[in-house]
Amino acid sequence: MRPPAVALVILLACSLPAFCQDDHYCHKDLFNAVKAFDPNSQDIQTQSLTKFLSFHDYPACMVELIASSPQYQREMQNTPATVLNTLTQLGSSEGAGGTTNLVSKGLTPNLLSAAAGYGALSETTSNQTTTVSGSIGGLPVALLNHGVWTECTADLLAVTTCVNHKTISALNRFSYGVSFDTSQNSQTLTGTTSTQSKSTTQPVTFTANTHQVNQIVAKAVLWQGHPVSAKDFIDHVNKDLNAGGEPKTETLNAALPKAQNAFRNAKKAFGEWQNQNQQSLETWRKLAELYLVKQYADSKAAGKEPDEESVAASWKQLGCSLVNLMGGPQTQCPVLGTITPAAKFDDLFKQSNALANAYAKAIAANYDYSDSLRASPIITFEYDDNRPVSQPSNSVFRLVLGKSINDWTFTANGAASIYNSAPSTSIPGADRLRDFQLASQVDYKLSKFKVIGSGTSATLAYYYQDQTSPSIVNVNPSNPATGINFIGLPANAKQVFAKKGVINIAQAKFTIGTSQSGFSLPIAVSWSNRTELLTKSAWRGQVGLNYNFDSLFSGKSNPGQ
Amino acid sequence: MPGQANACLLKTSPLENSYTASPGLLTLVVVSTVGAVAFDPAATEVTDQNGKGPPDWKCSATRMTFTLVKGNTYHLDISFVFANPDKDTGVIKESCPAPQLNDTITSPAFTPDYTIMVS
Repeated sequence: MRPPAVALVILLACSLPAFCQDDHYCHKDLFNAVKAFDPNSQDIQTQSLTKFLSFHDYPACMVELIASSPQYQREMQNTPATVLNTLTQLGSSEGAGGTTNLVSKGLTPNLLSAAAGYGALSETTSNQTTTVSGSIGGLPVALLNHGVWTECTADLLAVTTCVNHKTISALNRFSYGVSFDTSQNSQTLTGTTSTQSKSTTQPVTFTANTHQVNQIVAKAVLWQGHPVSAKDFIDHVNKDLNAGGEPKTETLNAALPKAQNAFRNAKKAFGEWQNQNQQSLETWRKLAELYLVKQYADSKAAGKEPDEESVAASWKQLGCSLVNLMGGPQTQCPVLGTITPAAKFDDLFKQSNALANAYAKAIAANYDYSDSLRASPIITFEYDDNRPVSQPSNSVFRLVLGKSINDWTFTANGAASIYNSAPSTSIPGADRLRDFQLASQVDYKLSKFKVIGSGTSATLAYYYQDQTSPSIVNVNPSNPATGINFIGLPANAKQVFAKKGVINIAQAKFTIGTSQSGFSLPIAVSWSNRTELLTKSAWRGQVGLNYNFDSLFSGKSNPGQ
Repeated sequence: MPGQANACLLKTSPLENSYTASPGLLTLVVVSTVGAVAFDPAATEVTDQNGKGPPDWKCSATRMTFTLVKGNTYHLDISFVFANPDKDTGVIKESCPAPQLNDTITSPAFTPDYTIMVS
């Protein structure tokens, strides 16, 4: 049963029809097999319907048949639903005051990431910043990975909420990030007397500097890259899954063989039962074939062209007799009601649920794998709402281009920044347009040096900012800007501004991490010809600690760089 | 293995996916008919009756080879991956003039298992 709120979300997500085409794999193969069936042929090789009704070849579809039986439906009514169950960026973008990222990347982790960073880049004062980021599709992905929801095309049980992989793919194009300024561990209060009284007791109006959120980021992937070509797909399988037959467990794609192996293990008991009950299953299967073909022919004779839906409806009538055959709860079945039970299959419904969930996860892992092979470049639009301490807030509009070639990743940014409100006209040269930015970065995965962590990488980056307006600092003599001391500032001054110019920054970064843990530790050193306020060159250090929660919820991770 | 005879399969049971074969080098290939379908070597298991892997087992995205040893019974549990599970299909077959193992691979049928007795 789908709760109304969940159904509403899916309905909204499905408002674009292309995202919710529910092709059902089993029904498509069944329809083709029934259409091609030749009752006079003894050639097993050409009889796909015979294979379709076998646990060895179509275990998932046989379990769907079991799940469509009245016995299963009755049992599940009394069972809680729970029983059924390299282009990423961690951390804030440049401008947050405490980050190791000079260049923005196009994607964020699926579910959630947390990153703590210290050390400014273009800013004059350094802050400690904690960033939380994730993709809109993160929650459905987590629910899929835990079997609470299933991939619609692999939804065998029809008792769980299903979501189409195309919907998730579309949701994952949108991501968010919020950076918190954790340098300010206490709120600063300013008390202003509200009367001119000389009394020893004074009424005071308090105002608080509650600055905590210093950056909000929204990203939308404009161009996801081409789906992988057939040739490239085969090349990637050879490379990623290791032609030697041993899984490369430290690659991002270890989740795929893990899910495939789980499905393979889940189906073993069904294959063994089939081997031990060959004759009984053979009898049932021949009758089932005849029933399906007769229904198909009758429908045609009645002038109603059979389709996938009508053939699937006839097929589902056979679920009752299959459950009887396998020793499940015995019921009088309307179709093939005279089948004699074979050896009892222990925990039939429980094992069917396990197989159905394993199948859905294996298919979802396959989609994840093929999506990860999309040909770059990826083009992303990013909007940053920067709220720097003691400075006017500004908005950055950024285009991000990312391309990966083997162990190399290239990223380029182009951006423009505007003040969120027009600066004072008394500031010479000040305009709404704050600056233009260009940046590029190259990362190299040091995956061969496993001794220092399989997710370790080296990065070189360059950043250019042309300040078309001076940097402005809000001042309040009774509550000075953090990290800035003023000498000789008039008591009525509200803003000060610096000399505008061009900022050039070069950065070298080393990120230590492992693919499996989700943790990464970026350490960087940067040189700049000036900062926003200071016109002298400076060497800076930046350090961070990132955690990608995807590794917890999906068994894979992708440490940021 | 150079100079080793190729092994071809003979189907014995339609329900069990069972085959017999003479000793030699068995080669299985997957051919994509729509899109791209590949062996998943990391999720494919080939074992004899003692649970051991056969000699010289090699597996790539499109080709699997191993030596069938006389007296052994092999169990093949094969997994496939798809470039697009929505619509890709392939065929797994043995490299023999008239392959008896010749099965269609689709998303709901992506982990076929086979038993081969070598005599």
